[in-house]
Amino acid sequence: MRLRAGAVVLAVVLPTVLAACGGGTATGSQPLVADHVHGVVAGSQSAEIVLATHYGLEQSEDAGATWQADNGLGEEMVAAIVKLPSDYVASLQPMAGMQMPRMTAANMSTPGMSMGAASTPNIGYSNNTHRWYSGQGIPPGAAVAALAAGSNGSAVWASLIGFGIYESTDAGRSWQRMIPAAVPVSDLLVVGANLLFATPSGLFVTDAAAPSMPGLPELSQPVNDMTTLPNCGSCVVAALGSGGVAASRDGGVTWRQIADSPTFDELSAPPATSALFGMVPSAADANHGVWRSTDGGTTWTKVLTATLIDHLYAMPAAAGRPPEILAFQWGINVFSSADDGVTWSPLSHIPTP
Amino acid sequence: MTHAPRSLSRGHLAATGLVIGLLVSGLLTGCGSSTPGAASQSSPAVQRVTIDVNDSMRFVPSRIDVHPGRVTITLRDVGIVAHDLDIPSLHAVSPTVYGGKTVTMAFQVNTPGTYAFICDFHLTEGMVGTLIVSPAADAGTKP
Repeated sequence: MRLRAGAVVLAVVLPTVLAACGGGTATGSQPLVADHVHGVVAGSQSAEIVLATHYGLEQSEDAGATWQADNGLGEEMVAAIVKLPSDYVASLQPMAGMQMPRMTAANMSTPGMSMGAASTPNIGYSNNTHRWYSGQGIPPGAAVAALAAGSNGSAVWASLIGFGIYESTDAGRSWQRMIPAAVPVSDLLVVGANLLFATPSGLFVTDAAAPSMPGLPELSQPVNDMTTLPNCGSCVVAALGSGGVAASRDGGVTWRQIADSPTFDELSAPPATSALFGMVPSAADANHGVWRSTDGGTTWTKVLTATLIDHLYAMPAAAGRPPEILAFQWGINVFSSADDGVTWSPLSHIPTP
Repeated sequence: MTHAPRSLSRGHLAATGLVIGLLVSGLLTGCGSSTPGAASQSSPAVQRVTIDVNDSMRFVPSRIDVHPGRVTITLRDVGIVAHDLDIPSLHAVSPTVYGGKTVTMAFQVNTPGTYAFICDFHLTEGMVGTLIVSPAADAGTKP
């Protein structure tokens, strides 16, 4: 492993995250919220990246080297974002009892129907990330725990706390509740014809075309995260809440634990790379950092020792630029790797607004 | 790193899965006091629960078992990242708890059922839990 200046960066970052993500207005003596990434998607141009962060959207047009605020969602906490072929769908997470910056009137699709208020939906759509419109059919004010793109270009799924699982078949414009559920659904993933969803009780699988609440989970233990593997349309891996990795080769129907790995909070298998990555953000965990597997999650090697890294993004090759993988650390600090995640270097910093 | 492949298929987990399936289906059963996250009851009026929150963006435990009545939750931040605990359907939200600190919240819950709770800051990182409110053993005997 090689990490240039990583220790210096960490020393700078840690003080800023000591009270990270904690609502700056709640207690006057506490530090302000430290920003971090909630989602990463490609922009409309080849080297463009869009981040969903605690304080709105950030955009880079040069593969992560420099960043500027995309004010399309103001400084709202953008909890999740997915990219469809021609649209983006994002969710906001209003802070209960806290005064957060609101969207500007110019960005509201219809007065009184913006996103991110107690009386409005928390899911919206956009074709450019700059101007957003509210989705219809979402219970006003409902907290959105997860978003996932469907198997075709216009399907997207959402889990709403206290309401269940919703689907949109028109790229986020209208939504229908497909599975009522009182239990929280913390993650969603479409694998082929199957919809996988995680609850505190385990991982469930249903037919995405005719979804229903299964009587039994296919994986009977908490799952921290799951991802599909490139080059295998029915392969999915899951990070187990108690540590280890499980894998399925049949779209989530049957599972086998394949590794007694660290307890990964996040998994990522960026397209165009050959590796699977697991992330352990917590400094209290001796395994904190980014881990890499080249055999689908069976064996793991730690490639980056740093705390609070919880998102990766694969930057495809662009004109004159090799493909890179970016890692996002709370703060926000961006690391890059040009060798498929084997070695990492600090790339850029995004200051908290 | 060594690994130990284990079958996790449904057939090997039917008994456990049945229990969990019943829970998820909202078919609540009585909750034993030995269940992790079960409330201690220092007085008949208040049920007390302690939950740790950490930098892995998890509630520990992530399941709370109580009976209808007054509930006090102590939220203890064992990491450096700040959190809260929000039960949207009960409109009950804790103060923000910062690293190394503790906060408490109190609320009234009258109706048995399953209630999701979340960290408002880390919901999409999977920081969720479940409050299970089961009927009191002596339900129906009180005025």
